[in-house]
Amino acid sequence: MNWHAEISEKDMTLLCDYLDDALSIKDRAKFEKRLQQSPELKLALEDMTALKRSMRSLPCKPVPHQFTLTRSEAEKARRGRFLLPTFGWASVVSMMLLAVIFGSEFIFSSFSAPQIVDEPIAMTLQNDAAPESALRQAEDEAGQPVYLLNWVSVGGKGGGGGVAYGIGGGMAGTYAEDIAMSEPVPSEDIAMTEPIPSEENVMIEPMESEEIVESTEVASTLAGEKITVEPLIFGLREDQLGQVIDVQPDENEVLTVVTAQDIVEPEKEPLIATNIKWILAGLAAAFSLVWLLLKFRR
Amino acid sequence: MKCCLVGLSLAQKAIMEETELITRAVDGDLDAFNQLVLQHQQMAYNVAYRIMADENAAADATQEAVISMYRKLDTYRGGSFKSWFLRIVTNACYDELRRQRRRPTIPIEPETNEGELIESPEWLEDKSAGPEEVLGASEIENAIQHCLTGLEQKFRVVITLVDVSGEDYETVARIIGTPIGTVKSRLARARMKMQQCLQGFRELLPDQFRHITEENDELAR
Repeated sequence: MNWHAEISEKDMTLLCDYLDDALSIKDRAKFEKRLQQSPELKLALEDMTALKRSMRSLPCKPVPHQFTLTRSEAEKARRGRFLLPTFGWASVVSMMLLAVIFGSEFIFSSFSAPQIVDEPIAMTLQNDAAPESALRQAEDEAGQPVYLLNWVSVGGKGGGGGVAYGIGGGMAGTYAEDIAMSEPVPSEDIAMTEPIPSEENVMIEPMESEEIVESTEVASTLAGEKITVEPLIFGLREDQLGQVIDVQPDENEVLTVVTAQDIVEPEKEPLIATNIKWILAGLAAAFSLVWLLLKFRR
Repeated sequence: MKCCLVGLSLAQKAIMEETELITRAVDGDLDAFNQLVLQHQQMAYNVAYRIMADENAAADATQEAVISMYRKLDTYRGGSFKSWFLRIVTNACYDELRRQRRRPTIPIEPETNEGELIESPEWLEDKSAGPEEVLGASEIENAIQHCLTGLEQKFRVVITLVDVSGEDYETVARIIGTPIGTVKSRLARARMKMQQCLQGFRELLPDQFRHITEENDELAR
């Protein structure tokens, strides 16, 4: 009778446990009860018992020779005792160091925040460094005069530009005084310099307070023409309002155009010198090679 | 009762002697080490032979195990010396089997001495013995060894250690470095495969295999 298909692997394991006396008393009693009920299990036990007995009865092979060590063999074995593990560990340690170095460099370069530059990029537009050729080139490419923005001195650094009337706004709180042209341009060509009727100014509309000084602020165009604008923001000190901000572009100043490509990020220095990396890689390779040689020589 | 006490004291004496030999061997006494080798070499060689199924390979593996044991003596942390040594022996067998797989030693002679190509060279023949051939030698040992060799390495090691060497599950688990559950399942599958394999021989030798006589049982003990 073939019991192999009838008995599950779990039952077979239980059977082996029973055969090798590895079951607890309780489990043994339970299994014996099952044995009486299942003829397949009984047959399997019979076969397994026979197999075990046969295996145990295998004759003991006599040794072909003594396996004892002579003095020279022992000396030779002792010599190689530390070499293999030493080189093995050395290669592992150097490889791990390399991995740590490369890993940390990768992490720093990939996930670190961009470096904060002390001087805002706008400041680079100021006085120096940009050749006039860049301006000419930009004009050629655009096919029309290029308007340059000079952020000098008015409105401070930072701020948003646009029709920024606010304190420290990028365009200096006026329409056009800071808009410098590469060439003198009639004021009417500059849309921003056209006098804007105060009633058109959206910002003035919601004014309710009677304390707001009316029509006191004066700005100027490039041509020196002064325009009057309304105070725009509540909270301005009165003495600040109405100041004439008369900024003419400095003719001696060289206006510059700085493009994104021109802004060269300073080259980051690697955390670990390249020489050290090469030395570590070389050491790791050498240790591994010696370890492999020793291993295969054995 | 007296007999049991004498037996116990003999076993204790043997353990103490072994412990002393180990201590001396760890201290560098080669004679003590060789005495340990002499005590266990038979068992080691037999386990290696059943795993390798080849006398020369088993001898190589045992010698390697002895050298390895000498190197690792200072890492021995007590417990059963026999199972520690068996662990080294099984590892040496694994290494030897790997080496054999890398460099098979089958002689290739596809040509005669005259340089003519042999149509069916000797090395193409299947030399593994069939059931009839094995039984022709009328040795149940050959049949068992034949089936044992056909087992996967991991099953062969477990069944050899449990059924041939007589180790318990816990010791085998320590030797091969796996949990006891793995040992149990591997043993169950190994026995099942062995039994299936031996069925081919059993038809010819039903009583001899299935109903082992009491004499055989005594012999096994």
